[in-house]
Amino acid sequence: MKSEKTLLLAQHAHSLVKSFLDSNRLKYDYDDQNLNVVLELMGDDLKISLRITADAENALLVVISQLPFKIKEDCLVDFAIGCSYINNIISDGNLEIDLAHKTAFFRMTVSFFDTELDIGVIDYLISRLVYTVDKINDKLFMLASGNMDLQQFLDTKFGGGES
Amino acid sequence: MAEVTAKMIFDTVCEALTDKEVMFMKLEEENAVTFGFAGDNVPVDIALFANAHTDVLTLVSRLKFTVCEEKRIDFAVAVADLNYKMVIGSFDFNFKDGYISFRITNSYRGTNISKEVVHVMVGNAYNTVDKIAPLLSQLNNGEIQLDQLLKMI
Repeated sequence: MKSEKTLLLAQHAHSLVKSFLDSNRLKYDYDDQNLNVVLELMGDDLKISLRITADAENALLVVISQLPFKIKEDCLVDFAIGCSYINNIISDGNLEIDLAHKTAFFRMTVSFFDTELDIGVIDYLISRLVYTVDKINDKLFMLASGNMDLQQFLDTKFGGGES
Repeated sequence: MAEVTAKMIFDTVCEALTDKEVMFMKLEEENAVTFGFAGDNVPVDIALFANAHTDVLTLVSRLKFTVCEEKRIDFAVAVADLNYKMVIGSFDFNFKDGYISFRITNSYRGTNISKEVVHVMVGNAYNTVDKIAPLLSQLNNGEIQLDQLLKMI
């Protein structure tokens, strides 16, 4: 799928991401060769790491946040059920688990196939991801570490902003 | 303004499907369309709607079976792993009622969505559901075990 045009659109998306972060005075590291940007923000409770990649192969801008904890082996099933619950109430993005490393991620994407992205969509992706992760990561951490049981997690009011 | 934009996206979706000679049903008040394919392995039903409140075009394809209660823990783990391996889209699994669906979202805030993006969304949904749904159905029916499925995807 990677054509000269798609590569240009990927480079454009990568530049827009950096412009957005600059305009919001956010510090980040970047790799112009691989078209990715990494940064870390402090949420209400936990750090929020972001990796933003303009994937020229799939014409996809991917924003991914690895949650800053490991899932205890005996909490994995409850955590997976908790992720299912969250994925059902959010309208954009999804939680996923790397079973081998017992780590979890929140991911959002937007396609730039034959489309020049606008800074509005970059703003949306980053703001939405940070908002969602900040809202759920503390409870997910408690679930992953065994400090909250599944029923308590499912009873948590995550608010109506997600759906 | 948001409603006008959602209507424009809805029109783009209709044009994109018409270009590919896909028969679809319009739900204009909801800026939504529904359609289906026979599929190589399983029938694939798709709904696409432009949400004027969130500026997000959402594709949902609900799988044809409901996960039985004794397999729901396996499905929660399988879906979490599947989503980790997805490039585009994700599966949503409702632990309570056993419904499972595939979802792709694409924000159009400040950005147009091209007909090609619609084609990519539909193509990816079709390929993913047609390939993965039979495996998930086998897991649901006890024909394969969770560890087998995890090795296959």
